[in-house]
Amino acid sequence: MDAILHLSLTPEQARVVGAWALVLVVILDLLASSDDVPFNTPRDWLLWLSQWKSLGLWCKERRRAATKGGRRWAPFSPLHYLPVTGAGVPFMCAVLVGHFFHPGLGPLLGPGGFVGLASCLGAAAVLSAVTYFTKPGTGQRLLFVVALVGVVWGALAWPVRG
Amino acid sequence: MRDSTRAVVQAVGAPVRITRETLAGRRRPIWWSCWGVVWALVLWDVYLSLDGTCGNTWSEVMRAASARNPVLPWIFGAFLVHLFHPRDGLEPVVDHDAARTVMVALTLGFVAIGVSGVQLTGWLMSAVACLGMVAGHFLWPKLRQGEWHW
Repeated sequence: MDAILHLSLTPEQARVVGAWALVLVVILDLLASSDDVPFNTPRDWLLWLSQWKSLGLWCKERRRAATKGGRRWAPFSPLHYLPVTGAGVPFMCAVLVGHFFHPGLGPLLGPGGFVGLASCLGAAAVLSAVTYFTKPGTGQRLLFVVALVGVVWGALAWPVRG
Repeated sequence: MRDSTRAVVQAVGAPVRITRETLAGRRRPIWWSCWGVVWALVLWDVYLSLDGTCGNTWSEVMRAASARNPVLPWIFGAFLVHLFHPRDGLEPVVDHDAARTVMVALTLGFVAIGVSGVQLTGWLMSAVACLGMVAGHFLWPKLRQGEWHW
């Protein structure tokens, strides 16, 4: 695959590609900010993903959406009830910040540090599930704490190769 | 006013269900572009971390770049708490103009440190990220996270 797509990069090439990816996100943000459609910037998507919805609120919304065409029952899809938003998103954003900016705390466990990464993803999944059992108001008060814990977790559990 | 603009303006004032349906189609291009970029970077990072070359994953590149440019951990730290803070309507500890001025001045200060060739070593990089978080929390809270017309 590498012969076709040239996916392997030297650190210098990776720096250029990463910089251009950041520029691309900024351009998307500027484009979305300057059009007449509200709440469609990358920042808005991020905040939307981190919206805190209790299970009751979520189910009520899905049921209302599913029955709006005059149907009397909501077709069930497990996808409607997956706990993929809420606390997990700010936690993973914070984990990335902790992962990027630390002094190099030790060797990675597994190729690419997958053991630490798995612990981060597991904690994010647990936090997302916890989102379902707490009230949205409580959730927003906890966002900052979640972000702080995420930074520390990312730095300690998922260090960059020194 | 253009028809498309009028439709959006009318939709924003309409009941939530109508608004969602009207705006969904207009939001889709940005939505898919964002997801495309994010997933491309994630999958590419997995490939890079397994290809045997040291120092070429996004995190390693970011860490190396941050050592020379302290403005990077500063901005990422500030932006993190700008988005995820404890409540709506949180005001900066000083008035908005002063807060904006201080944030811009500190950002320019970190740019100047980077330009002058100072390297961040050890815990300094983490300290700058944490400083960004503290400054972002007290000076740059997003006014409203709120419920939107989704």
